[in-house]
Amino acid sequence: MYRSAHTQSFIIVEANQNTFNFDNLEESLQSDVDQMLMAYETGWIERGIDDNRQVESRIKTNIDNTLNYIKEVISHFRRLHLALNGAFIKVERPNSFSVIMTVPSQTFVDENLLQIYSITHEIEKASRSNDYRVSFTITYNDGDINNDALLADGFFDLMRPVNG
Amino acid sequence: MDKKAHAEHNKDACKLLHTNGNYCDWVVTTAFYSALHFVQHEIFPITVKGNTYDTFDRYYNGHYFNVKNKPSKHVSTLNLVRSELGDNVYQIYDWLFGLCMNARYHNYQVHGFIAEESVKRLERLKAMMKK
Repeated sequence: MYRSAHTQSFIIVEANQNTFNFDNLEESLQSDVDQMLMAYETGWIERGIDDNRQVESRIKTNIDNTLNYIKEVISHFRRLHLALNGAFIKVERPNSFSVIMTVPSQTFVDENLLQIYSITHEIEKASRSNDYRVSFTITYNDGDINNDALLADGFFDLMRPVNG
Repeated sequence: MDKKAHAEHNKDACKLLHTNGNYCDWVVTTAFYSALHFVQHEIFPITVKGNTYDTFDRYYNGHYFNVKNKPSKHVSTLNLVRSELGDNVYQIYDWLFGLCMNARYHNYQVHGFIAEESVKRLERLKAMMKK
């Protein structure tokens, strides 16, 4: 219910299931700071944010873990004789990582590639904890993938040329 | 619109766009969002740890209440697809998911033969649904 302030001195606004008395709004304001702080800290913990040194250490450990999982996935590509031509990693949060693996477009529609999805999901499930989460996706790349878009979204190209 | 009707609605749009031939990016997007509604229709209602959830949103809000480092809704759906519908459905669903979500990195220029495959795999996924 809403009545205009121009014609009425008494206004009640209903938002969702809550009713606020606008003539005495102060009483409607939540004043429980501890409760608000707790909600904030819960979100903080859920996002995996702590002090800088801990963050740095956690990120390093979790990047190492993610690289090991990527190596494991690569070994399955090799076992299944599937071509793989790239990998990108993104730090979503200190405790959450995304990986995009790229394959030639012909491999992308290869029926055998579907087995890799079950393998990456097993890794995702087995590695999941409060401190770590990784998600894999696979896409195709025939040399024309948009590296700028990947970088803009925070994906770091893991492939580097091997010398000699 | 209920989930199955929404799935069919998106599948019809997918086929229409595929027939046109000029909107391969939208073909793969509608294929995925058709698949999403097919699998959610198949999975729900679901009972987990004694709690019955009628919809995905209720499941997500209830099952992950106070859970740290919770998955995204898409990842949560992927997990349910694997656990409730099995490997074959999961593999196709995850393939469609990745195809849709990564279209941006191909400047939304999806190859015709990949769009064609997405339509075929959507049909395969639908055929695996029992409801």
